Amino acid sequence: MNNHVRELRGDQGWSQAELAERLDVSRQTVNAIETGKYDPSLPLAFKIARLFGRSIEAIFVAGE
Amino acid sequence: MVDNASKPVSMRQLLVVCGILAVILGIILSGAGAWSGHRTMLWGGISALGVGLIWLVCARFTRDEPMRAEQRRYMREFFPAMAAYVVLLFVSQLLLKQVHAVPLTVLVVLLPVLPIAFVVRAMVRAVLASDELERRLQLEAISIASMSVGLLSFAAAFLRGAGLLPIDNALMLVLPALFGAYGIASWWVRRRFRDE
Repeated sequence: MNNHVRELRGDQGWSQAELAERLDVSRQTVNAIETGKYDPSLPLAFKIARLFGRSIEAIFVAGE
Repeated sequence: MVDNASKPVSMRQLLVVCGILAVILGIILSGAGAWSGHRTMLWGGISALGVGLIWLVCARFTRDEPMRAEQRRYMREFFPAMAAYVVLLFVSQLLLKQVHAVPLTVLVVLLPVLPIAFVVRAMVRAVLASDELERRLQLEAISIASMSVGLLSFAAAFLRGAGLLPIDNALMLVLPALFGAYGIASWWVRRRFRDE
């Protein structure tokens, strides 16, 4: 699954550590999500969507 | 926001400090053990030296970034418990020569297990406080470690039964082997999540 988390984080001017703190996860988890190595659970995906004020579909894009 | 003036200690800094302290303790204890002929002290020293060197090697591969609150709590619980274990191990060995009553002997022999129970408690609390990805990695690492150690113990029991493995106190090795295997498995399962 692809996502726009890195771009959205960049728009906010947050570091990975700052985003991790806001989501209450580790920085490694943010890095794994941004690089597409880890797909977050639905509750975490909702948390990310709420934080950026977008819908889940606008952030996470299903891969081929 | 992280203020540089009050930047919390990083995992790397902690590993370096504890590694150096463990190496110094290991050198002192193994030297004193070799000089006095006290085997427990010698092996305790060699163990501390080994653990210290492992921590220093781990520090080399750890990012220099502030620890999360859960990690700091784990460290606050883990290191004092390990220090208490080292102290109680020697106290127990010294007291063992003085006590003869069976109930008291049982108590003295089991004395070093108490701080290890706190180490296990710290580990469980750390796993329960971790996020979803960390929990997945912990589950994979613990599964690999427990099954590997279980398999090795099984094989060792057969070898011991056939008189091919001259280890008297094999059960003593299970928990340290689990901790060691967990460390290696943890490193292995995290490889694919390294920073890009």
